Amino acid sequence: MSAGPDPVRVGVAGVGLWSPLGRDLDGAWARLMAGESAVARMAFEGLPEVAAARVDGDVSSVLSKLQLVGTERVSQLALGAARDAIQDAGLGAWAEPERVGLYLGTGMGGAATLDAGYAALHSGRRLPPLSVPTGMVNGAAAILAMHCDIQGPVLTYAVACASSAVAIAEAAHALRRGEIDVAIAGGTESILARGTVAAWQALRTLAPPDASDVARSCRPFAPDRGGLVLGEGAAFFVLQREPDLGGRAPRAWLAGSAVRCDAVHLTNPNQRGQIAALTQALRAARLAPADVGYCNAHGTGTVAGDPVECAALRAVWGDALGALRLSSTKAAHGHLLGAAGALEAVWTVEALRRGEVPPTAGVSTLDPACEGPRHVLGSGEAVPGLAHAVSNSFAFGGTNASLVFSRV
Amino acid sequence: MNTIERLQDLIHTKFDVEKSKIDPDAAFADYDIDSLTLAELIFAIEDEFHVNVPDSAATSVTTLRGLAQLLDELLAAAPTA
Repeated sequence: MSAGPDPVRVGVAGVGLWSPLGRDLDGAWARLMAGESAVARMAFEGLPEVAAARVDGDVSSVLSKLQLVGTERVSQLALGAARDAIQDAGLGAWAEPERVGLYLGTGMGGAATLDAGYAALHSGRRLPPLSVPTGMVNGAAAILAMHCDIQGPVLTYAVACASSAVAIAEAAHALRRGEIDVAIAGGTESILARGTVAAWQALRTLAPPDASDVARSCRPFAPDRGGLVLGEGAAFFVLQREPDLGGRAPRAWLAGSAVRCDAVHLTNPNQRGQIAALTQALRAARLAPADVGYCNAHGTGTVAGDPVECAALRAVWGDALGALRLSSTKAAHGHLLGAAGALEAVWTVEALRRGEVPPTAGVSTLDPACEGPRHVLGSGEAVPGLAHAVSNSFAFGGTNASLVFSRV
Repeated sequence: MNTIERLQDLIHTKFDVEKSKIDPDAAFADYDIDSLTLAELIFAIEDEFHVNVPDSAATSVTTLRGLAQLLDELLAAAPTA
């Protein structure tokens, strides 16, 4: 454990989510706890049918037609969720907008815009004129800055599946450094477009739609798991230092975080980096493994990934592993890639606030290679004494991020 | 319908700008058509009028009347109207 004075605490002052389970936190949480899943069939021309989790409803209504120029689904989802987070925090009209920062994670940014543009080009049509500014990876961040008047650092983190977890970690560092007073931190992803889905199918990592129940297509830790299911959506936190909360109780404290790289393989997960991220995050939070009662796993449902994560947890928790509740909520909402870390951090915070943990939906039996932790399967479970929880995000490219939250 | 009216219709439909605000002699910016929106508008005009608007139009044309005049010239010069 590092010595030195206690760092200033950073609180989660507001939460917003536009997710496959809904846009209302209470409603989405109820669905999650009940073991519901938003995974459904989607069809794209010329591709095998795919299981995926979409955000329901018209997300473009977040802006007027004139304001929609230069935006696409990835920025519209982000703006909707970020506005909800700001409202939840009771903020909005900044006294010092240059002291407000935006830390946004996205894996593929405006991939759907580029996909549509190149599809037009390759079929002899013209590319839309705003393909570059709409499709650029920091496009969503720019739209949020404009519409939420964020004039501090406006940064985009593209770290694949760890993007928004890294963004949240970096936002907290900026607050602790005193660089800003308010951080809007989270992620957005919108990759359910023909070309992007085809690219994921080509990688042979997607779970086929389950023939008997498509909602059960993503089965993390199960012996018959068949891969990941793509999801879309956005989730954001408003983070503030404790003295700036004005006596208002945050939803939880962001107790610590760490980002570490395997430096081994482009896509294969590796214990070394995951152990390093978990160990360093606990150290930053000044907690021992046994203090942590719940882990929201990265748990994508791939054959290769899930046992490695369980092995890393085993290595760090040791004898305390049996008391660590574990679930992967991706079974319910799919893998939001760059937005996954933020959405799963929302669940982790909510678990602490409510003293109950969500399940790995639709899974009833475990792969022996994933045994050890206290898996929460089927439906959620009350854990009244839950004080600390961790959320894992392990990315293609080898970057692993762990966020540790503590109950208020 | 003359070209100005067709353009007013297009702007109204595409961007939800009230027709009464679309003054043919006002600067585009006066009714919130910025450079990016103008690029989108020209793209839609090319589809609707079946013409190629030169890149220079995006900077040389500042009002709807100017844009309508340019379109009328392009249409008159087109081999098949």
